[in-house]
Amino acid sequence: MRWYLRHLGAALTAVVALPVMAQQQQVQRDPRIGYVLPAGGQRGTTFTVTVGGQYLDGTTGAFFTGKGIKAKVVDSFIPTNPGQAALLRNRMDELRTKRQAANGVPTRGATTEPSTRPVFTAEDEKEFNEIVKRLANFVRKPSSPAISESVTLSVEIEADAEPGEREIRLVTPRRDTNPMVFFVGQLPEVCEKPSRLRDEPTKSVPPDDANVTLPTVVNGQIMPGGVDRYHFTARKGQNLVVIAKARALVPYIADAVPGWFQATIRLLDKEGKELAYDDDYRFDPDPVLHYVIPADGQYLIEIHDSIYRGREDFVYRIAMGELPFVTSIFPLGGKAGAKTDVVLTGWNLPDSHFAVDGQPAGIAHVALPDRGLYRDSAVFAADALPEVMEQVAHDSPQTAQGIAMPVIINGRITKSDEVDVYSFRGRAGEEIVAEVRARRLDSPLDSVLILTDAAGKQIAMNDDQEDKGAGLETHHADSYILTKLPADGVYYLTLRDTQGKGGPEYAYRLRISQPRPSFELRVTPSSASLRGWNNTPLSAQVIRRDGFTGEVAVSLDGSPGFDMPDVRIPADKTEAKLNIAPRRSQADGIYPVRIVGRATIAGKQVVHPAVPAEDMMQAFAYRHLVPADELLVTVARFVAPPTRPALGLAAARKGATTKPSKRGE
Amino acid sequence: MHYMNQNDVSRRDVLRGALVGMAGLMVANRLSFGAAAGPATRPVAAAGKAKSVIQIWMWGGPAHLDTFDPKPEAGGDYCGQFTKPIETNVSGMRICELLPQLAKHADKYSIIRSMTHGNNAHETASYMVQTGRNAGERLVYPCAGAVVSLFRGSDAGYRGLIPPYVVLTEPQGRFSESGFMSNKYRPFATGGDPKQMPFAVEGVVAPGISDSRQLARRDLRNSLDTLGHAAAIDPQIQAFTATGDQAYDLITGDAGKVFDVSQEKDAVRDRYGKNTFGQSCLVARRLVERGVPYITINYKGWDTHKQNFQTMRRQLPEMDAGMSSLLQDLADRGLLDSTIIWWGGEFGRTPKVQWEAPWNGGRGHHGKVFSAVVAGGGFKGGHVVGASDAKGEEVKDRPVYPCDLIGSMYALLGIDGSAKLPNPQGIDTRVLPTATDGVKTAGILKEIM
Repeated sequence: MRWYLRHLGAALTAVVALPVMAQQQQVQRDPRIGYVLPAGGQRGTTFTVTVGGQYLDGTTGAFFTGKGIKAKVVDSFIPTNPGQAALLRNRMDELRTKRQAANGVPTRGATTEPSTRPVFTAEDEKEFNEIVKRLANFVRKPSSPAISESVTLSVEIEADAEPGEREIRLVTPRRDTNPMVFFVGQLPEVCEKPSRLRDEPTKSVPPDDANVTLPTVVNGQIMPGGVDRYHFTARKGQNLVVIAKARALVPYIADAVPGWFQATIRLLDKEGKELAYDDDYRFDPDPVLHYVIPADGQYLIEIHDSIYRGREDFVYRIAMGELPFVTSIFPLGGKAGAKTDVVLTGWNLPDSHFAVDGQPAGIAHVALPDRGLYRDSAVFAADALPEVMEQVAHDSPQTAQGIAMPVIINGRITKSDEVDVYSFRGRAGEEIVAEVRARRLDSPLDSVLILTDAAGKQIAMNDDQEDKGAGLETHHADSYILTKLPADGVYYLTLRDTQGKGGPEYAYRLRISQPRPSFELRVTPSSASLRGWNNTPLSAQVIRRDGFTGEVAVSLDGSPGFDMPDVRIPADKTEAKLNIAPRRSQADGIYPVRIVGRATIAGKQVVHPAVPAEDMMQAFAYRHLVPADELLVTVARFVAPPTRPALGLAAARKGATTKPSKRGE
Repeated sequence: MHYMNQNDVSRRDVLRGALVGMAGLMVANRLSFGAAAGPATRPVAAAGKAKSVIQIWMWGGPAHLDTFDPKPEAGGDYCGQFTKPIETNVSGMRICELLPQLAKHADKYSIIRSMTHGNNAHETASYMVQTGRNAGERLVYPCAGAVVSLFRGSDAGYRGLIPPYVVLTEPQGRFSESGFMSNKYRPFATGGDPKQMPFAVEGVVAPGISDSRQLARRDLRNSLDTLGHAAAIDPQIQAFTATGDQAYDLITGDAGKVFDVSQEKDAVRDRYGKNTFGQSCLVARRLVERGVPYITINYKGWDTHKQNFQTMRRQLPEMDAGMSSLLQDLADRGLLDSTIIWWGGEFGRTPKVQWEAPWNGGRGHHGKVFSAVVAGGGFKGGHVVGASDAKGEEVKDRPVYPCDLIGSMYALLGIDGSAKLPNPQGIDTRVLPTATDGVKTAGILKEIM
């Protein structure tokens, strides 16, 4: 067929389909993934990965950020719903009748003359077997439809792939999905079979037991009532570290409370005596255990939800062994561009000092020494402002540490109820900002800041301040004050832990400066499907800092092949819709797209790249912007809407009285 | 019949002596007689137009856009599948297209489209709507049913055997109970299911047990009740026994037959709908005919986070049949003027449909603005009070707070809003909140009274 005729047919279909689409557009059939099992693997190996979600039919492959990983689709599981099941049964009856007639079995109203018998072909046989298989997939009411489908991948990670955190997305002809985390590890891994493929029923499952050799990473999935156990041999004196990732894999679940898999882990000896237990590691819901093995022998690690819940998306990864684990670093950052010597505290560390290369201003994730075993990263804040270290014993106005603005102070609340006091000179009418960065840098400190004048009168106070840019925080513990000073004079800034706690790990960075108006930009979602104009699939959100009230202009950056009219987010607004479309010359495919925001601040033009993000709901109520590595856009002009394999559905519809289901047509 | 011997005599003396002090402890929790603190003021059954209340509690929070406040003009992302609301028999008043029966009775009820309290948590919002008070404060207030039970129940001369506050069929628990008031004002939850035959009302109707067998059981129990006989002169025990007798009269006498829906013609049962809600409406009507002051029908299944439209399609016709039959029957029997019907839940649901995963076409909680419906008992029908904005997201006109709606009901029932509620700690607690209580109010529903 001439190429234009082929496309014409599709184009006409598209045109005709548009008005219908506009109405049916309401029921979004965007493919979306909800869990990955295992959420990672050892480099240099090939292994099976199950990705669960919805509307995954037609998945052609998977995307990974970074280098060295590829995948191919091996299988898929789409549960058959009641409407489809009814149609399939009808069709199956038809085929069965046909087969009987073809074999000469007398049936009501059918003649048995050989010449008039129908022929039961090989295709009929194939269709019949497919229907049997699809009826076996019949699930009357999946417990959570949004994660009831799955795709099985075969994933290969090259031996020299960089260890650490990546993102995985599934790719369908119409669009790519949202991303989820995927780890490249260095240790041998095991993974339990997904629950659907296990023999036991999903209610009150007995503990799953496996034997493993340390060091290793184990992957699994907890269903309701589920308990998984891993038995291993250990030697006396081994510094065992067990690091579980559960919330890290699926940070927010919209239709569950608290909104993630609240894992707990226990270490037991071979008599079943509990040696250690952890629910949360400080403020992090994912548990971490450290235990010095008392004697040679068998031990086990057990994982389950804190109240024995379970679901398909309660997946976990547990790294076990004498693994390096950094419990805190100090300082939490340094001057932009300058090398910083950081003191590491933790377990099984090769060294207690670590040199961080000069970083650009902002937040960096710095890879920590991994001893070839387990790669972790630390959050490191770099800033252009002058930096000072906290001096000792400054816990009252009399002994306050004097500072000159602007400055960033690296300090610690070293023991319970400790108070750190800083003093500075200010002028009447001067605006100042005091900002704590601690929790956002993984410090357990729950700061509270109080600004007082020389007479001790409180000018401003703050405990918690929400930062929409910190999408993974659920307790916005870092304090922030933006205030105007009433008079010339000396001012005191007191910082302490709201809960009265303290210790060497209770570190902070305290910025005291004039306001630095600025902005950050987020674009949601991080995947989009484009057929042409007339869709506004993306939304830009501005996070204003230090009282910035200016207008932000949002535009494409690079990304030839796409057009996007500039959008301005005015001073009184925080979001706007983005209308992006492919140029006619842009072929169908998946493309990374970059967007930037521009604003004029203090006479200078400031440009910040937009961070792609997913707008995720937690526990029916809260919303968070969770950053993703890239914004991937699928151009899919000539791709038909998703269809189920025909499987006689067309034939069934002719005779069926049941209304065909909307999906798959 | 009891057994006398030497030991019993001395035990009896001891018991008699100890009982006076113990009786309060032993009996008070199980059955209160208001002995601890009777109501400080007990208003004489004031002449109020309304004598009974039927509360249809839409448990879970019904979508206001999909029931009584349709917004087709806001577009498919708001109205979803329900794009063609229907006119009712009151011009200008329209409701969801899945309520055609109720559309014929709009002259009997009024819709409040501007209910608001701003809370989106099931438990907190339920408490606020049912008590008219703010949640999380020092005291736990009684819900409207318990207040009506106080002022229209046995303390006010109600002598019916059926408890004055009945719940069909599952109690909601602590959000619709007597709060700091005594257990006497708690609801009597029937349990069972009125669509089953027989309707097994907890403690009253036990399937397979005949009346004579019930009475034989009572006799056996009495014969074993040595304490009851030993302390027969104690006033607490006497009251306990009297209540027990009353309970048996309810079980074995005519009063308990109110729960027997098989007494109604099949055609009537079909009109209400042979489902739990429909038959509950029928039982509620029968209870009102017997003069029961407060009946709550706990209608579950409205928390439509997922499958909102499928659930509405399944449940709204059921609600339509039951509620319209109830309105019709009460009107036909001349009972509508003396019976308040209150339809509503703890909140409404998000006007913007949640198409995205994992909801795939659901609605979340929405306490900023939602709808309620009132009928009968002195409320005018055929009116709309208040309005929500074009998308149904905020109050546009005339907010109505929970205490405004409850206060209106009390006024129609002739319950004095400033009357005291009996408080065991002696704290001054009143029927309705005042300005100093920090509870928002925009005034009772004078527009429809």
